[in-house]
Amino acid sequence: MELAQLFEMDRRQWLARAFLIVGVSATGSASLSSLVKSEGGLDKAQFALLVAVTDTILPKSDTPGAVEVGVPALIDAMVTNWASEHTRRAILEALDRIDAATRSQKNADFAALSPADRKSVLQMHEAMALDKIPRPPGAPERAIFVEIPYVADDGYLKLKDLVISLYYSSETAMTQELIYEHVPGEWQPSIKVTEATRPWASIGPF
Amino acid sequence: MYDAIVIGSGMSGGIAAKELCERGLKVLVLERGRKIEHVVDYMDTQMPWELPNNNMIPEDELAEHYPVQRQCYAVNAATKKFWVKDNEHPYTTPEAKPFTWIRGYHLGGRSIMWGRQSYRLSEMDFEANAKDGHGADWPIRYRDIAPWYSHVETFIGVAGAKEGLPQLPDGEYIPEFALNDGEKYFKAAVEAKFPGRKVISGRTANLSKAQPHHEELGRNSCQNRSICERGCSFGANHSSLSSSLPAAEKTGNLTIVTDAIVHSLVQDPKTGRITQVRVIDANSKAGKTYEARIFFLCASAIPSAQILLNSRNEANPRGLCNKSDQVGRNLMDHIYALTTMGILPGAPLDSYYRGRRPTGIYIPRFRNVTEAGEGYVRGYGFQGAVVRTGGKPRASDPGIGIEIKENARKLGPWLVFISGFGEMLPNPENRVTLNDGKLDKWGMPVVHIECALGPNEAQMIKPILADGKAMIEAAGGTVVDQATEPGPPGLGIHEMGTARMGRDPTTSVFNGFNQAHEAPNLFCTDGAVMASSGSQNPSLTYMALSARASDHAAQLLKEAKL
Repeated sequence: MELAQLFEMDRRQWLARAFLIVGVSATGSASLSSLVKSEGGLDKAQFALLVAVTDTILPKSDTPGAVEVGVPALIDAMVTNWASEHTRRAILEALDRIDAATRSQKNADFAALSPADRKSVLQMHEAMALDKIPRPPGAPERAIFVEIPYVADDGYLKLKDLVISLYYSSETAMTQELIYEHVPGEWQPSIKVTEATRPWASIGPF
Repeated sequence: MYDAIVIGSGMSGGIAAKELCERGLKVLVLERGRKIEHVVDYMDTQMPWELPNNNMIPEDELAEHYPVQRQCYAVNAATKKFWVKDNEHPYTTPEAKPFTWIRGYHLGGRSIMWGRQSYRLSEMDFEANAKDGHGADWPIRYRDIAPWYSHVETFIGVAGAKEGLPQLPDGEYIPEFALNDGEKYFKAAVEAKFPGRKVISGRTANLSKAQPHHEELGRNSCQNRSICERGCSFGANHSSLSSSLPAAEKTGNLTIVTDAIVHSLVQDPKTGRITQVRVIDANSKAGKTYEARIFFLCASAIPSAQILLNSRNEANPRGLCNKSDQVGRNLMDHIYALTTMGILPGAPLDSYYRGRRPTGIYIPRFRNVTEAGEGYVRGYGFQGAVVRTGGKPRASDPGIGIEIKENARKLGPWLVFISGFGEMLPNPENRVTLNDGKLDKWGMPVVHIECALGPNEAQMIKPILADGKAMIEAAGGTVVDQATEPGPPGLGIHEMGTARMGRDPTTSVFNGFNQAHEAPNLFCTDGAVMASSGSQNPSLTYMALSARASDHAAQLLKEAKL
């Protein structure tokens, strides 16, 4: 299925899920879309680009990809409901830069490229975007225990992080890509690894 | 008129209320925060994909309301309601001396979100001040508190194993959460290379196996979900809501009033007895007083000192029970956040584990115990875990496409991380005072907190990091990351020491039974009374002191000595 079709067909369904997740009660499609559109939700062109980028970062394989589990709509909603103005702008500018890079290299919309071309364009873009830069003066080295990466395009890192985090906390990825048990029950300190073993979908053992 | 008023419903107040109620006293618990209910107010049944904003708090809201609280690892969308809004509950610090004060104002306080690690202090901890001259001598020794540790451990349920270590006395344990194979590998290597060190399962107040007396209170065995800080609907970890307050309620002797902010205590100048507690209703701001025969301060270290300071009057301009000038002084935390991480290529790759155990590994203090510490007194322990890598990729690692999904499915090598918890010496200049220039919304002066690590603490930083590295390397590991800066004081969330116990009324505030030197019917059993910090997580000690002081106070009442 073409990305554009996916986008049109599933957007309403994604929105419903997005609003479930962000905790906004649905009062009708008009108010839903106006909420998404208010204060920095993505416009249609940005959303189409986001769908294509998301699909390129985590495509469908033998399991659904990030687009199939509704990650773009979740990001769209989080840009409105979670992100600060700084983060919102960084994410939108990161999308703009992907768009600009594609136009200069391929003279086309990113979403219009073949999956292979999208991947090669985004790989090249990512190599520059994730290039490590020195920590800016006064910026924190880490968030408690975790080192904070400083890269050339912080917006791209934020965007990719949202794609990955939302995908790997989706029911699909947690139960099909990895394994998740909400209530494991007994602690088993030692089990044998087999061919079928997959990592637990949450930090273990605590 | 109540027999006893307990100020605060958290870790200490919950146990004090239970013990006093069980001895037949009519007890009023005053809680400054709102009422929350066990199970009903928890967000532990939601699946990860059902949490708002992927379990993150909106960034603007974090910046506006939680600039301090957000530094705590346990702050997220699912626990948001358990943390104070910093802008509603301000305090001040000097410009260059941040203090990270992590708080929860609701029934049960921080016992809802606590880290549950439960260790006894040892004889060497109680002797330390007397031996090396820092701080004031503890008025008690290990033998005084040992039976009360047992009493509390049995009641709350502590999973652990007996190890026979003098620096970390054994207690009454339910079965430990066993080490995984990566941890067993690490333990064997560390203990072989360093005979004076031990790697043990972290002793934790989670019911590995609920005992009949736990089940009677509606508590169940731990399900290994490791989302304890959201509140546990299984009642598998000890909190005031799951455990101590229900036990107190069962006696029929308990009254709880929430939204009741204690303003001050009123002392009878003739007898020295506390007669009343003045309370402000958090919502209506109306004033009210309550009377009782005895009073227990369990508001946590900083607020308990604040209440004494704010109880000042003409005869006691420095605050009540403060002839020693020690109220507010000697604020301590633990040296925190110094963490070393490494990959252990030699750990068994054919082994994994199932479940999210609510604890990790613990390496009891060995410096100035079995091995010398160069240039400092006291020491530090380590907490951590050995986990198998794999799963969700990191966004900062290069790579996109099907490959990153495929990589995420593969089990990676074992990763070890160990984080030092160092003892902080009592220093009278680390201090809480009232800031009369800034009032909170109830018209009370906010606290001004001035606290910094001292030279002895500074001397421990490099050794904590070097020992962390050496132990990982002893296990054939390669260090991949190290957090080399200690967290700001407070972030260990072990604040204590602000109204210490001692024998001498001129250098301490409370005596060996937690009874105020200057007010015979006032007791304090929270972190404020700690004469030193040890390197162990302190909540178990607060609870043991609470139970012991409650028993003593009830006995004095019975004998008509109070």
